Amino acid sequence: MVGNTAHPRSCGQLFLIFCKISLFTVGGGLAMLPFVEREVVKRRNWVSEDEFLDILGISQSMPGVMIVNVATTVGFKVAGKRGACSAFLGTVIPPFVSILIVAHYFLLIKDNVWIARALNGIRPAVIALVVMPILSLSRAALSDKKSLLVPAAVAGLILFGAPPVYVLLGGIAIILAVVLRKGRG
Amino acid sequence: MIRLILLAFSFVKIGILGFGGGYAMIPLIQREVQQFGIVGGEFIDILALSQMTPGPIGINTATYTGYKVAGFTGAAVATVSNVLPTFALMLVAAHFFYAFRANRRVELFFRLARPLFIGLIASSALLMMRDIRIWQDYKACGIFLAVFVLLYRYRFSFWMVFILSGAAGLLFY
Repeated sequence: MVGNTAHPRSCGQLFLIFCKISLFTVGGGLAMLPFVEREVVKRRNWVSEDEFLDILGISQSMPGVMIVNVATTVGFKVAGKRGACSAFLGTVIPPFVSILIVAHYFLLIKDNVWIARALNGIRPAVIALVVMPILSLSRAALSDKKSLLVPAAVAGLILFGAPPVYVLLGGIAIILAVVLRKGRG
Repeated sequence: MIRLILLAFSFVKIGILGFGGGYAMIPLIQREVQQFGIVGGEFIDILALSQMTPGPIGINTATYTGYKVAGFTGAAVATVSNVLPTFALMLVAAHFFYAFRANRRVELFFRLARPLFIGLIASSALLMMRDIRIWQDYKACGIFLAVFVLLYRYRFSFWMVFILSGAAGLLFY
C-alpha cells in the first residue's frame, strides 16, 4: 500500500520544497507543475514519471485547487498522512501570506488616480488572459459544431443570471448519467 | 460573526465544486463574492493581483475576499474553508490511488465535462466584459484585442502584458 514508508525527515523537506515552489512561481497553479515535477520526480525520485502523471490525473479529477491536490497526493505517497499535511501546508501558506500583504496595500492605494487609470488598462488585459485557456481547451474538446452547443448553452444560462453553481451541478448530473449508461453497456 | 459564517459557507462551496482548474472556478467565485460587495471592476482587479502574486488563483481570491470582508480573521476563514474540504477528499482519494487511476469512467467523465468547463470560463470572460462595458469603451476594446494578439500570436508573458496594459491605461484614461 502506498504511503506506509514514512520518513520523519521527508516531512520537513516536503514542506520546504512546496513552500519554495509555491513562493517562487507566479501565474497560477499550472505554472507550478514543471517545478513540482523537477523536484519530486527528477531530483529526488520520490515518485516515478508514470506515477506523477497518475497523480496529475487524480488531482485534476478532484475538485478544488489543482496544485494543492497535487501536493497532498505527492506528500501522501512520500510520507503518509503527515507527509500530505506537510506538503499541503507548504503549498498554502506562501500564497496566503503574500496575497494578504498585497491585499492590505492594494486596498489602501486602489482609489489613487494613477492606480485607477492603470487599472483601466489592466482590466481588459486580464479578460484576454482568461480567454486564453478557452482556446487551448477548445482545440482538444470541441471537434464539431454540435459540441459547441454545450459551452454556448452554459455561458448563455450564466449570462442571463442562472447561478453558476446550479449550472455546474446540472451539467455534472447529465454527464454522470451518460457515463453510467455507457459504462454499463 | 454572521459574515464569517457566510464567508466560510461560500468558500467551502467553491472549494468542493471547483472542478476543472482555477479558470473554471472563476464564475463560481465571481457569483459568491458579489454578496460581499466585490463586483465589477474590483473582481477583475483581484484576478490581476492573483496572477501577479505567487500561488494558485483559488487561494489568492479566497484570501483577498476574506481580508476585505473581515480583516485577517476573514482571510484565514475564507482560505481554510476553500482548501480544507478538498484536502480531506484528497487524503481519501490518495488511499484509493490505484483503484482510481485505472478507472475508465472517470476518464470518460472528464472528456465529456470539458465543454462544460469551456462554457464556464467563457461565461466569466463575458460577464467581466459586461462589467467594464467593453462594447461602449473603444479604448478597452482595443487594449483587449491588442493583448489577445500579443498573448496568442506572440506568446507574451503575463508580466509584459500587465506592464504594457497598465502603461496603456495611464496613457489613454
